[in-house]
Amino acid sequence: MAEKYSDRELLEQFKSEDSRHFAFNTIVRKHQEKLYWHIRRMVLDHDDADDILQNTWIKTWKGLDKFRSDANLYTWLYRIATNETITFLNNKKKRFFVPIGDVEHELASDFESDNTFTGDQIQRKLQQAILTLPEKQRLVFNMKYFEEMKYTQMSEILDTSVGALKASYHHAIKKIEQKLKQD
Amino acid sequence: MNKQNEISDLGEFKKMAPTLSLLKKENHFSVPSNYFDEFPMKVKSKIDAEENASSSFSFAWLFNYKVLTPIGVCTIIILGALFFNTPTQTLKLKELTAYEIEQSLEYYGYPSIDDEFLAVLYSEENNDSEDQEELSEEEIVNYLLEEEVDVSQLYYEL
Repeated sequence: MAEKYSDRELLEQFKSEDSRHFAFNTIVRKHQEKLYWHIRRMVLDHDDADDILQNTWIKTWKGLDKFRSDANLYTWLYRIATNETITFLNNKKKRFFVPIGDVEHELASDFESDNTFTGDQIQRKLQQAILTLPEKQRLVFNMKYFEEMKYTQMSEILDTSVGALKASYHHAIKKIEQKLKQD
Repeated sequence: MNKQNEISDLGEFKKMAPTLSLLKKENHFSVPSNYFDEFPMKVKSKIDAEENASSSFSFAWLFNYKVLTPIGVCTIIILGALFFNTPTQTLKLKELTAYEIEQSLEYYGYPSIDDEFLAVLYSEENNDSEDQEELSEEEIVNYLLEEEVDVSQLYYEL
């Protein structure tokens, strides 16, 4: 039902007091899953992803009034979700006095004991390999490999040049390939 | 053109990462059932709760350390100023009337004073007093008459 309305139509409806809640509810239903998986792949834990996703939508609610309807809503939502995820990971480092490189190590050890992951051994190995990537590179890899996003869209979301993104993705692939070939 | 780019990208990808290119892009993380059905309501509740909290007037801002610290410091300064500037009254015994002394003794109780000490004190007072005047005979007689003193008794005691 949510796909019935375009983002532009929903933004117009949001401006009106009468249809604001309906429009927002529809926007949430339309984009929640993609945003959720984008976040979940970075933080791994469902409860953490749930918190971050809620914060993302609360920020969206507060900022939607000022959002320019000619801009891409999806890109804007993605940007908020990405920033919230990065903030969460940075706060995790500060809260537990974890050195910057060791958050990925912590996530990797949490993933090893995670019973909610249903993939086979090679899929698990792939996830572990992804977790060895630095945060930004992991983001780029997830967005390109799993979400099949275009570089131009990624560039808008991450505020990074297309060239830098391509280089980052290539390095990520090489590292993961190396890890997959290891025993 | 885009499709050609995609194909060449895919070719390059297979070349760079043959093992990775063989893997299926599947999502193996599980999610609680009905999570996405219930999520919009959860978000709405949270938004409503935040809006209600921000619209109601609260005194929470008072408990901010930035407010409490200057209030505390000012209070201490004011109290200190009041305490140290209060004039203290010291009563001098000479300023008290006989009635006030009597009332005080009745209220607090008579202190135990050594009689000998009192006698010495009295005699010293009398001896030290510069204001002491010798009474004339006439004054003595007038005193005795006014006080209706029994002269015979006095004679007997002396």
